[in-house]
Amino acid sequence: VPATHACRITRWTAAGGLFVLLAAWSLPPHASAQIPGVDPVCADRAPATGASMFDARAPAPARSGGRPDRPASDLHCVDLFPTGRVSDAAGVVALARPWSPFGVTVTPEGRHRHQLTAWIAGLPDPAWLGPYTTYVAWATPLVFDPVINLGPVTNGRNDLGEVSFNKYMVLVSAEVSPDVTERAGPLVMRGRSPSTFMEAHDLMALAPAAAEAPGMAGGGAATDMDAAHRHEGGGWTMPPGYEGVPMLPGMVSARPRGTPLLLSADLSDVPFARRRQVVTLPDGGTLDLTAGLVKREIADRELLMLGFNGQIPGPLIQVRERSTIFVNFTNDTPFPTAVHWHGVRLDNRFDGVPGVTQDPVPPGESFRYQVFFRDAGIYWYHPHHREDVQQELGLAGNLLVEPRAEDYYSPVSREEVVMLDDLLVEEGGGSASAAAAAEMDTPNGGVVPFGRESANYMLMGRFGNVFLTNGEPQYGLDVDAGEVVRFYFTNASNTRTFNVSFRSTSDTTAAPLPIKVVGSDVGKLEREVMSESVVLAPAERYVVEVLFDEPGAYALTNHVQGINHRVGVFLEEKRSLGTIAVSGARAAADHAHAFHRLRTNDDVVADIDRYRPEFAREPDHELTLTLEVDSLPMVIEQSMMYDWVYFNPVEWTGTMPMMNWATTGAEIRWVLRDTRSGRENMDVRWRFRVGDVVKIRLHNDRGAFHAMQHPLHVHGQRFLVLEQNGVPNTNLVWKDTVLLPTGSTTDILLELSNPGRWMVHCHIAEHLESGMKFVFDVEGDQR
Amino acid sequence: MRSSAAMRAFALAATLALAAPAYAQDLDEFVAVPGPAVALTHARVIDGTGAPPRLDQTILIEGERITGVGPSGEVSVPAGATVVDLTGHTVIPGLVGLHNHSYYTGGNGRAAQLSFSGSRLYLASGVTTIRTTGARAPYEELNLKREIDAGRVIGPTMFATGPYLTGEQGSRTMTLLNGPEEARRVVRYWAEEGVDWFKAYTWISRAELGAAIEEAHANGVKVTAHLCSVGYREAVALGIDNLEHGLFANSEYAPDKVPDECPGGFRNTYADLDVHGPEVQATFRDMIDNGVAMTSTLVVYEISVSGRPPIDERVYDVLAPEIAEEVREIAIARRAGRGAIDPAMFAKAMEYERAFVEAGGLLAAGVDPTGYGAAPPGLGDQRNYELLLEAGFSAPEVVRIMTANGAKVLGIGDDVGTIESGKLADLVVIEGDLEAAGNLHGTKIVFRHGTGWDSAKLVDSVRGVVGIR
Repeated sequence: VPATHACRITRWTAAGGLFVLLAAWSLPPHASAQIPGVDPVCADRAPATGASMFDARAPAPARSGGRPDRPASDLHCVDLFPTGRVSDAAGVVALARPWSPFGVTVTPEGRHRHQLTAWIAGLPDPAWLGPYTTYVAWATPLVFDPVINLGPVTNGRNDLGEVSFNKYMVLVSAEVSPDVTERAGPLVMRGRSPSTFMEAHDLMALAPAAAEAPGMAGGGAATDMDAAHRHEGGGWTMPPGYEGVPMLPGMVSARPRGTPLLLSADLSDVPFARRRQVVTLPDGGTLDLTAGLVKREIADRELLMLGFNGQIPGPLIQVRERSTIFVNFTNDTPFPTAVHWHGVRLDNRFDGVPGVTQDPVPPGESFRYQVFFRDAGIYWYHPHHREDVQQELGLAGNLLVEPRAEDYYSPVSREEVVMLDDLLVEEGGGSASAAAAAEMDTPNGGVVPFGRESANYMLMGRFGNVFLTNGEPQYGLDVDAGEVVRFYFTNASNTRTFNVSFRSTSDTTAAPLPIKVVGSDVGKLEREVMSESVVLAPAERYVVEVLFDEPGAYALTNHVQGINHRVGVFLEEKRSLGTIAVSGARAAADHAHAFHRLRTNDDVVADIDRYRPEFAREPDHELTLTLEVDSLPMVIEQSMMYDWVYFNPVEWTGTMPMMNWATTGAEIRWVLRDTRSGRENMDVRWRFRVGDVVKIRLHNDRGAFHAMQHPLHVHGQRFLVLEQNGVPNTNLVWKDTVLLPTGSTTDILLELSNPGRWMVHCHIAEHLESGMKFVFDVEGDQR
Repeated sequence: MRSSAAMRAFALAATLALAAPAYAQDLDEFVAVPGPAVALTHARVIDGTGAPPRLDQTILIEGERITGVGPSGEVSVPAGATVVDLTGHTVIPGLVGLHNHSYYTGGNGRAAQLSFSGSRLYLASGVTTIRTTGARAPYEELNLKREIDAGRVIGPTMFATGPYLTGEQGSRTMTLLNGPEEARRVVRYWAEEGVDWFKAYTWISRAELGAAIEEAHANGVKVTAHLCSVGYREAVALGIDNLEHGLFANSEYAPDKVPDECPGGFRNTYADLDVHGPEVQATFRDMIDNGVAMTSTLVVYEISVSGRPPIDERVYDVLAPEIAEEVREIAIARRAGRGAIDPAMFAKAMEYERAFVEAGGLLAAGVDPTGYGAAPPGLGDQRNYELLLEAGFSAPEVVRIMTANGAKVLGIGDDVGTIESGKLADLVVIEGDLEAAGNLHGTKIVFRHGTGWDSAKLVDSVRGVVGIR
């Protein structure tokens, strides 16, 4: 088939399928504004009319969610369609997230929680429909089990409470009583959650593009797996798939442009990595820190990796608040590198950003860092040069800054610093990787190769398939019953957002252990709160406390809801990262009382009070986070057009590994755009003075070709997350990294306290590599 | 092409704008014989009642309906009527396809709604009424039905189906039930949304099926099934209205059948089944006594039967080329023995259907455009005609099975299914003597509700996209 023919058919296909999918939300803007008082997030929804949810003759399509100053209504609203019984009625349900101390609010299972508010107009007296006295709203997943009574509804505003199904419907029926437990009366309105627009891909199964060679570097028309395993295209071999999600047929011959990059060394000369050591430094103390080759035995194979002082993670450096240390860094890796002290408000010269604050440290060379710890809490250090390679291979360590105030935290039995990470290794260590290893003269075919000229996995970032918690595939901790443990969590992965909880291994149906959330990136919350799980985007930290009251074993569990894009369904991923074994012995000291008391941190409140007058001001700057793509293989481009119909607030896991693997800087450009000036990435020019306080509106563009979450990091300063999607944050904490969910609008208040030239970037390592970064200057003296 | 988000959105909008006229374009160019008054003269008529052909007949159409049928010369043709001389042609009632999905599967795992091409191909092939018998996308079906009813889309009269009802196994496009309460709620919701039928599927339990049937009947809709975990007699006892696929889906003769479990490979034991024996006759008696019809879908299985003749080239001709290539390879491979159906089993299925009719059962037919994809909409129905002849039915009997019997199952026998004065003018005009030809390949004009559509033009309009859109 000539390419042009295939192309034409594919266009038709996409158009035909999308037509139906899009019709439901491609309606004229601002129409829902006719419903009195409607939530501004949903004001551009058209009142849905007609007997069917999908009107095949919808008005000319208009894109939704394109406003740079508001969240995407199609991802945050449910249109209510009237049935023929009440054909003049209109309604829309706003989906807000209930407050949580995290960037998104999810259940311990990783399902997004939605606070539902319905605005309804035009419902007649229910008695007109029969022997009914009220209308009742319901929520139910598509299989109608369970069906939850959300309470009576009337014209106007209705608070419907919380729903946390993956895909669900909102129904309104006429009933004899508001308390009915099963819908008995007639259906009058119905709507479906945005996630339900994601359905089985017709395209995935039929795209003529699937039979065509995608035409990426070196790729011929491979028609079977064997062909794909040949090393055409510069030594690439097939990366691991995602279990249970078949690859798109046309993907077999896609491969990254450029050539593969792996470490290379004689393994017998390389020492095994040691476990992390604790280094406690006094004010003015000095540490020699060397980055170099180490080997690990993981997943039944020896892997060549990188470590700081031979350790993975790097040494845990413990210091006191307001102390200064000196670090004599030596680069014994084969790559240029530098060390960035993440979250630390230090002297700009030592921020460790090659090309901005220093030249990269070449192999064999050294650099002396002076690090001042202004704030108590948990921080970390990692390279800021080809992070996608160096951090993935093991270069990351924690900094624990002990507070000066005695009662800064509640008393606990012990403290644990836990670095969450993942690593991508080839499947099975089979012949393909062995052959690849031999061919590329690398002894460890085990780590999936990186891109030499540009990062691969540029689209979604590199999701690992082996979880490493403090460097180990299985983390372990032994405690006595009654111990309260303060965990300092850091997410050091390239792209994975974690949702961790503590689950009994013997009673898997039991609720997870309550978690007291104490602090985050740069200090404590205003008020301690309880949670059932902790969500951490890359580079975020959370300080939490857990009471292990009963003997037994508790799994540190990562539980999320990914998406099988091929069939349009959610895909549950639940992994144990390690076990906390609670012995029968009772802990010597009883901290249960302190654990159960939720403190208000007056010191934090007072600190933030100085900034509250600024909260309501108009934004000083606006940033749009978006994506440009170029020359994607048709099979990728076409299937992604289908995915456009719905984006999860967080891409929790890598279910499209082939597609993702094949993308590099040649096709992908992630963009931070100054919305007002139109400048992008390193062309953005912001200048401030020390003492400035600026409000920045961050809009994660739902209209991007592949929108996804971005953990945005600001170097050298601290900021407050004021609101998300118009919902104020009522319990603040100083942050240096904020998770921006897909299609969201987030306001932050940035305090400029530290002079110098500082970077802002997405902390998905591959997004940073694609150029999603800029720098701003702060003039004046440190305050 | 370098494309920003905005350009993407524009591109999407543009493709949508292009897609819309495909539905809305002027449909007149496909009309061969416009109404409102038409006289079809000198035709050979097989009227759908099972009666032998009648020669030199005139059929008068006024508006949507037939207003006269009789020997030419005895039916007075009103002035102004369009007269179509059908000397050398056969006219049969429009086909009523009882297993005629709105989607297609075939080739290497390809699947697509065929709201555009399937609808046209059904009509072009003489199928004027379909029951979809299991929906992957119920709302798309309901919309399609509405668009056809409104005259904005070319296609057959539709009886839409709700989502497949199956047990905890099944594909992701089905409703995987977890108990009878779910079955009731799903049925109730979709019945309120306007579907006419439900189809239960392979892994449903007796309790779920019973609940679904009860709820469906309470809401005025009906249930058919492609069964396995439940036997035919069990389903009849639960009140089912129709059973699909004949012997291919009746597991109740499997030696070790366990209630509510689908026995793997049960058909392999059926080659020696005695269709006149007490076991099979008991099935038939239960079905007949309870007015439960059987739907023949021989064509969907034929691709897997070794020794069968090659797939009709007309099938490959309409399919998207890539899909055609895959279907051709699969047909060759499956008939070579990989996963094939024993020809003796295929012959037994034909024997089973004939015995059912001999016992007094109501047999209807449908294409089932799924499986490996050699039975696309319409063309597969036409192939069924040939397979039912092969099964031993006479031409007038086959016509009745494919027309009047289907209409009876759907409860529209008063309006549809035979060529009689007062019924809707749903008619198929076939070149030549149908009995002599032994197939429906000569289909030229298809009347639905009094409008005569040009079969060849409709086929041309979908050639190369069947299987895709």
